[in-house]
Amino acid sequence: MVEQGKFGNKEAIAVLVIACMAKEFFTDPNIIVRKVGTAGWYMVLISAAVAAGGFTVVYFLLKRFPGKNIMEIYDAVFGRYIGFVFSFLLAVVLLFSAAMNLREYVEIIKIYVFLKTPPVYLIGSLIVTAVILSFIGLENIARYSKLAGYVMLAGFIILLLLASSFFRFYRIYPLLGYGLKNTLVQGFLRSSIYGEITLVAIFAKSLHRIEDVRKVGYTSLIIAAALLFIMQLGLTLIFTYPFGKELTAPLYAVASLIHYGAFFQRVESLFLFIWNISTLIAIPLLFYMVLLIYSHLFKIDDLRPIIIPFPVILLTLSLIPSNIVELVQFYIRYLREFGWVVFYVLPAIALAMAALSKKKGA
Amino acid sequence: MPNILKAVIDLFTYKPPQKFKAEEYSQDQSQSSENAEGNDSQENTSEEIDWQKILRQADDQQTRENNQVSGSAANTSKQAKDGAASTGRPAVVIRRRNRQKKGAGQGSQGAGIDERDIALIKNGMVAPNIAVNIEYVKQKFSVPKNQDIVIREFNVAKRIKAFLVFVDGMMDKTVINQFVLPQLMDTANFKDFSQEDILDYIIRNVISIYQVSRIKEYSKIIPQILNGVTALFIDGCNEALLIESRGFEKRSIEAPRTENVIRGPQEGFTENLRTNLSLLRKIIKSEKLITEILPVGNKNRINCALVYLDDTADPELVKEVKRRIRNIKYDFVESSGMLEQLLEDNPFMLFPQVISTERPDRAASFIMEGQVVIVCEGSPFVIAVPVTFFHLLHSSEDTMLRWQYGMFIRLTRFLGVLIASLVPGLWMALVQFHSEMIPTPLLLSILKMREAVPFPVVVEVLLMEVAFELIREGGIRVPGLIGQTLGIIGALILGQAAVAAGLVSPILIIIVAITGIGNFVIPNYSLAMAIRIIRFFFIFMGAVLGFYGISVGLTILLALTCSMKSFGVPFLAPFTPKTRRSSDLIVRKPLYKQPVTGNYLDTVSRRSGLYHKRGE
Repeated sequence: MVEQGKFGNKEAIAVLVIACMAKEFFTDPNIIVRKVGTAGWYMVLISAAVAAGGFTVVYFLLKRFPGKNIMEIYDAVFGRYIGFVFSFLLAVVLLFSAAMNLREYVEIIKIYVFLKTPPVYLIGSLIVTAVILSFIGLENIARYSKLAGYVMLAGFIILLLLASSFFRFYRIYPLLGYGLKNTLVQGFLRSSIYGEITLVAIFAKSLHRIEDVRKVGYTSLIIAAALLFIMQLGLTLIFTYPFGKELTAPLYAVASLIHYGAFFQRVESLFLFIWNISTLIAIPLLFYMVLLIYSHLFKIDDLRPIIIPFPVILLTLSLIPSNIVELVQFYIRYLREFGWVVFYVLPAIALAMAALSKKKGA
Repeated sequence: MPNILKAVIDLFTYKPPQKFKAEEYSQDQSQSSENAEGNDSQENTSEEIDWQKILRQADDQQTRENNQVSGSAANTSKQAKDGAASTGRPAVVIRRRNRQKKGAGQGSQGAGIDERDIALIKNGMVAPNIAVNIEYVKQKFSVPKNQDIVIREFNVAKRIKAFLVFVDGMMDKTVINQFVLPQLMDTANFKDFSQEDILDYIIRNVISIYQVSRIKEYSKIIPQILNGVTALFIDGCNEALLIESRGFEKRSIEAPRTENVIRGPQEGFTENLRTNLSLLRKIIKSEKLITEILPVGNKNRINCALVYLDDTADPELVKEVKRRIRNIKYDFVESSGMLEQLLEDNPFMLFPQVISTERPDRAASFIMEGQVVIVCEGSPFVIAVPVTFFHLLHSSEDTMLRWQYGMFIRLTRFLGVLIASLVPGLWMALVQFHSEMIPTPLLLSILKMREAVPFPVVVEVLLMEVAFELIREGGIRVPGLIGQTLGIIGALILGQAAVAAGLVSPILIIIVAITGIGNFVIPNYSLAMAIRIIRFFFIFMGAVLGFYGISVGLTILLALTCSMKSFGVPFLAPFTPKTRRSSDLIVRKPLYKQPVTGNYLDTVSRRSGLYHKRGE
C-alpha cells in the first residue's frame, strides 16, 4: 500500500479547484460560447448542479465503505476482476485527460508565447515537473497547491477587475443563448468539467474523516463553479458572442486587452503565471492519481519504480493529436462531453450494486 | 600444529564473560541511568591500554617505594607516630592498607597490587592503589610525550600519597596554587580528621572550592580533565575528586557582529560555553529552564548544551534532539556550524533547517517559544530547532520596535527575498521572451543602451552576477576597511568601467545592484546564501523558457520546500500545513495581542498535531 500522507481540507480544496480550473483557462470558454452562445455563464452552474449530483453519489459510496478509496470499493463491490476493469477505466481516462490537457496547454502557449519552440521541449519540461512532484508525493503537491492557490486566486480576481472596464452589459443578451433546452443539454453533457472533484475519492485516505470528504468535495465544487461563473460571465460581457467564438484562448485575449496609460499595457505575460502554475499542479496531480490507481491494480507498494516509465506513456499520448484543431474538436470535446460517464456513472453503478447486494464497509 | 589445535579448541569452548560488577562501584542511580541512556560518556577503551605495562610499572614503583621506606624505617616510624598524633586517621588508613596487602599475599602481579586493584582498573574504575592510577593516567594521556598534561604528585598532610591531574592552560592556576595544594599539604587542616572517609573530610573541611564531586569511572573523569577540571587521586581511595578549576583565556562579551540592531540589547554570545549559558539565564530567570550538556565528536568531544524550557518545549522534540546529537558519529565537530550540518533533516536541500543566532535575546525568545537551543562550545553562534521559513525572516528588532514598524520591516524583508531570488531571472525572461510587456519608450531606451553590448543578455547577466559574487566574497575575506574599499571599488569602478567598455548595459548594473541589496536585507546568513544560489537557477530557467521556465522553477522549488521538515515541523508551517499559529510568526500585531506562550510548535501545552505523540 502506497503511503500518501495526510493533509488538511484547505490543501485538498486548493488542489481540486486548481485541477478543475486549469483546463478552463484555454479553449473551453471558446467551446462553451460555440455551444451555448451567451448562456455560458449559467450553463456552468447547470453543469455544477449535475456534478453535485454526481459527487453526492461518490460521497454516498465512500460513506458506505469508510476508510476505503474508490479502487478498493470497486474491488469490494464487484470483485477483483470487474473492479479491476472499473479502476483501469478511470486510470485510462485520467491519463488521457492529463495528456490532452498537457497538449492543449502547450499548443496555446506556443501560439501566444513560444512561437518557434518545439512542443516536445515544452511538454518535456512539464513532464519533468510531474515526475519530480510525483517523487515528492501527494501531500506536498497539495501543500504547494494551497500556497500557490491564494496567489492565483488574487491574480485571477485582479485580472477580472482590471478587465472590468471592458464590461458592456448589453452583451449578455440574448439571455437564453441558443435556447434553454440546448443550454440544459450542454450543461448536463459538460458536467465533466468538474469531474476532477471526484479525485477526492482516490485520495480519500489522505483526509482525516469521511465528513472531510463531503466538506472538501462540496466546497471545491462551489468554489470552482463560482470562479467559472465569474470567468464566463466576464468573458460574455467583454466579447460579443460572434467574436468570442473566434478566440482560441479568450482569457488570454482578455489579459492582452488590459491597458492603463502608456506604461501599464500588454501585461498578459504576467498573467501567464496563473495558467502556468495551475497547469503545473493539475497535470502532475492527474499523473499522480494514475500512478496511485495503477499501483493499486497491480499491487505495487512503491510508486518510485513506475514514476519513470509512465511519463513516456504520457508524452506519447500527448503527441497523438496532429494539430490543435484535431485536439480541440475531437479529443477534448469527447473527453469533456463523455468524461462524466467515468466520473459519475461508474460510482453510481457501484453504489447501486452495493445497495442491491447489501455490501457495506466495516 | 598444537597451536592450531589449541586455537580450534579455544574457539569452540564456552568462556563465561568475566565482567566486573560495575554496579557495586557505580555512582548513584540517577547518574548511572543517565549514562546508560545517553551513551554520552567516553567508553571504556580497555583494548587501547597496555595492562601489563601499567601493572608492571605500578608494581616496580611500589617495590621501589617499599625499599625506600624500609631503608629509612626508623625515621618513618617516628614520622608516622607524629602524623598519627597530628592527623589521626591517615595512619590508620595506611596500617589498614598494609594489612590488606599482607592478607592478599603476593598476588599474581606483584607484592603491592592486589586482585581488587587489577579488577577495578581493568574495568575503568579508580583503583585504591595510587601507583596503578598514576600509571593508568600516564598511559591514557601518553605522558611524558604529552607535555601539557600535568601530573603533580604530593602527600596529603605529609602522610598520604596523592596526585593531581590537569591540563596546563585550561585551568586557573590560582585555584591550584592557593586553594588546593596548600590546603591539602597543610597538616593543620587534618587535625580534626576522625571520619572514616578521607575524601568526604577533604570536601567538607579542606578544599575551599565551590564545586567538587566524587567520581569512580575513568570514562567520566578523563573528559572532565580535558575540559579543564582538576582530578585529585588519593592513595587508598577508589574515587577521584573532580575539582572545578576551569579557567581558559576567553573573549569578553561584545556586540554581535552579524546581527546588528538599532534598538535592542547589544550583547552577543562568545566562544565560552559557560558565558553563553549565563547570558541566557540572565534573560530567562525561570527554574524551568533546563540545561543539559552533551559531548559531541568522537574524538574531540566538545561540549554542547541543550537549553529549553521544561514546561514549554515538546518532550518528544527534546528527546529527538538528544537522540540526533548522541548518534553523531563524526570525529571532529568544531563548532555549531558543523553540528548544524550533522543534525539537519534534509542535507540536500538549499534552505537551512536550523536557525543560528549570536544574540542572547533572540535565543531566549526561541526558548520561550518552545524551541530547543543548542549552545556549542567554541562558537559564538547558537542554534535553535525546529525552524520554519518565517523564522528565518525575523530579526530581534521586529519585537523591539512598535508593531507597525516591525510589520513594515518584516514585509520589506519578504520583498527583499523575492527581489534577490527572482529579479535577474525575470529580467532575463522579460528581455528574451516577453519584450512586448516593456513599454515602448523604455524598450527603446534599453535597446539603445544595449546597442554597444556584444554579448547576449544571458552572458551579460551571468558576467555581472559572477563579478558581484566575487566582489562580495572578496570583501568578506580581506580585512575590515580594505574589504569595504574593495566593495566600493567593485561596485563603482568595475561597474562603471564595464559600462564604459560596452561589456554590459547600465540597466543591468541596476538589476544586479537591486538584487544584491535585496539579498543584504535577509537577516539570516544561511537563507541569504540559499537565495544567492537559487537566483542562478531562476536565471537559467528564465533564459531557457521565459516566464514559463520561472513557473516551472517556482513549482519545483516550492514543492520541494513544502516537503522539507525541521525536526518534524514542516518548513512552511504554520501556513501550510495550517497549525495553530503564533500570532507573531507572519505579521506583527500589537504586543498585547500576541501572547508569547501561544506558538505554532507542538509544545506540551498545545495540540497542533505536528508531532506524533507516543501512543497516537
